[in-house]
Amino acid sequence: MFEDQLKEIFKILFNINEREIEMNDSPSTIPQWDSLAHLKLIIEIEDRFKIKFKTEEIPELVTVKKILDRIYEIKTKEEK
Amino acid sequence: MEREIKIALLSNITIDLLVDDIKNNIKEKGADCKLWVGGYNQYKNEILNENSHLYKFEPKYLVIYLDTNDLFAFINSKLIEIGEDERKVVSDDLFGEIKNIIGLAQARLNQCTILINSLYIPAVNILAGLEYNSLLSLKEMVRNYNQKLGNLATINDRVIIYDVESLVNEIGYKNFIDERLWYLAKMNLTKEGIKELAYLISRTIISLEGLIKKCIVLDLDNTLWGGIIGEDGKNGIKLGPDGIDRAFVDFQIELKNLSKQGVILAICSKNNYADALDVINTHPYMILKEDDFSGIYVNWDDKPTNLKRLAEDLNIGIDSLVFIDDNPFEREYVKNSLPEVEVPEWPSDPVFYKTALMELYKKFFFKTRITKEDKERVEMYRAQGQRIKIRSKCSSLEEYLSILEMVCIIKLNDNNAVSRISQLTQRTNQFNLTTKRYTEADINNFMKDKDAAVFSLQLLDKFGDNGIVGVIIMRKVNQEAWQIDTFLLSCRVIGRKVEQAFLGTVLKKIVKTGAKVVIGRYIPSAKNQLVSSLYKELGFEFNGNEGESSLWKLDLNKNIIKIPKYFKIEADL
Repeated sequence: MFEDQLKEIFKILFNINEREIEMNDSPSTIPQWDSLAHLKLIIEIEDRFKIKFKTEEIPELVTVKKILDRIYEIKTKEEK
Repeated sequence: MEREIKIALLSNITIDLLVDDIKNNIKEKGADCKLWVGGYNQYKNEILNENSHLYKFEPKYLVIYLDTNDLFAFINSKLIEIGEDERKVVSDDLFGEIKNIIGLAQARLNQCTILINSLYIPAVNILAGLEYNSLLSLKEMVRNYNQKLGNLATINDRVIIYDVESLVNEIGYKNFIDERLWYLAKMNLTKEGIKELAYLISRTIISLEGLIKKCIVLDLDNTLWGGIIGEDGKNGIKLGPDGIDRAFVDFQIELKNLSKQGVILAICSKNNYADALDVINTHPYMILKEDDFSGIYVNWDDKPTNLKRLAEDLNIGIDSLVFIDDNPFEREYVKNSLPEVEVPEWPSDPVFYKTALMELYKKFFFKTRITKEDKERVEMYRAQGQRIKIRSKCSSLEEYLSILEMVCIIKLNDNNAVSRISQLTQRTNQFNLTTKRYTEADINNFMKDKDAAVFSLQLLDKFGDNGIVGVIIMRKVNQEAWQIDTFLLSCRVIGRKVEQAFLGTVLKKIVKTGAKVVIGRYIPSAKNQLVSSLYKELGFEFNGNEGESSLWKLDLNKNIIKIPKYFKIEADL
C-alpha cells in the first residue's frame, strides 16, 4: 500500500507517465531528481505519510527502495 | 493568455520551492507569469551589482522575502550582551540597510513594484521569559523594523508590504517553520509554510494586477439572518446580540467593512419584497441597511435571471460577481447556468460564515491600498440606480443629459490620482481603445516623461460625484504629431457623450504644443467591441490597419471635436 502511494508521489512530482517507477530508481535514473527536487520530495512524502525523517538521514534517502524501507520502519515503530 | 507577468524572487533563504505555487495561483486568475529566482542569500548582491541577472530580467514585480531567524542571526549570538539602548539602534540599522537596497532597486528598475514582507516574530528564543518582564526584548526589535517598513510603504507607491507577521500569527510558528530543512538546504519552511507564503505573495500580485472581483451577491434567509422570514416572521428570525444569533450580526459587520473598502453588496433572494425590506429597514440588529446595497433583487424569479439583471443594471461584468447562498441547490443552479459567476462553497454552520468570508476576501477582494474611489464606490452605484430611474422618465437622451448638470474636471499629470488611474487601466474592459494595463509605477513614469501626458477626468452630476472615471494618455511622436496611447472611460459613465467633452478638451491642450496631427489606435479585445468605431464617430479619418489594430488620424488644423453644450468643463491644464 505504501509502495503504490510512494510511486504515485514520484510520478506526479517528476511528471513520469510513460513508465512505472522502479525500486532502484535514483537521481541517476530520474534526471529531474536534483537537490531542490529532493527537498520537495521529502516535504511531500512527510506530508502524505504523516512522518518525520531525521535530519541527517534525509540526504541519504536517494533511492525509492531506501525511502520505502524507512517509511515502513517508522510506521512499524509507531504501531508498537 | 493575454499577459505574462515577470516576477523576480530574492531571499535570504532558498526560496525556489515557492515558484510552482505562485505560478499556479496566478494562472488560476487567467494570467501567465515568468519567474526568476535569485540564488540563496543573493538578494543584496543582485541589487547592488548593476550588471546582475535581476536587472537583465527587468521584472514587473520584485518580491523580496526575508526570514527573521536568518536576518537576526548575528544578534542571536549576543542576545543578552546588546544593551537595552543599543537594541533599537541595531534594529534601526537593519531597517536602514534594507531601505537602502529597496531604494537602489527602485532607482534601477523604474517600472517595477517591490513587494517585501513584514517579519514574523520568532516564537522560540532564549529571552522567552524576559520578553515582557525586562527591556531585553527581541520582539521589540522585530516590531520596530516592521513598523518602519510599514511607514515606508505608506509613503512609497512602489513598495508593498505582504504581511508575513500576521500569516505566522494565523497559522502558527510551528506550522510555518521547519528547522531541519534549514540545516540541510537553507530552507526553513514547512509544506504549509510554502503554500501559505506563496498564496500571500500571489494574491498581493493578483490584486495589484487588478484581477479581483467587484460585487458580493447575498441571499437573505439563513445567510444574512437565521431562519426564514416567510415562516418565522420578523421577530422569529435569528439575528441578535447573543448565541448563534450573534454569528449573523458578526457576518454582517464584516460585510459592511468590506463595503467600506469598495466591495459592492447586493441581495438576491426568493422572498416577498415587502417582508424582506421590512426586516432590512426596521430590524434592530440588522447591521446592513438598504443603503448599503447597490442592488436589491427580492422576487420569485430564478437566481441566474436576477444575477444577469444586476450585472446589467450596475453595468458590471457577470464575471465580477461572487454569489453567497446557504442553499446548495441554488449554488449548483447558478454555477451551472452562469459559470462566469464565482460560487464558493458555503459552511452549513453560521458560526463559520465570518471565517468563510475572510477566505473569500483573501481570494477575490484582497487589497493593499484603498483609493478614494474604493471608499465611495457603494454610494456611486446607488446614485447609478437613481439615474436609471430619471432616465426612464425622459423622452430623449438630450433631455436626460441636460438635466444631469454634468461637470467635467480634467487634470494633467495629477500625482494624487496615480493609484486610481492605474486601477482604471487594469480594470476597464469595455470603453477601452487599447486595453493597455499599467501599474502605478508605469503611470508615474508617464507623468515624469516630458513626451507623455496623463489626463484624468472626474465627472460630477446632480446625483453626486462619480469620481475619476476617465483616462487619456498622450505620447508625443514628433514635433507635429501625438498619439493616443490610452483612452478609456469607466463603464458607469458610458452613454453620456462624456468622451467628446474629455477628448475635445485634451486635444485643445495638445494643439497648444504645436501639434498638427493626432493618431488614435483601436486594438480589438474580447470585450471592447463597443468602441470599435469610436474614432470614426469623433471625426477621425481611417489611416490603415496594423496587424489587428486600426489606426485613425485627426488633422487638428481642419477638425476639432465639439464639446456638447450640457457639459461644464473645469480644466486645470
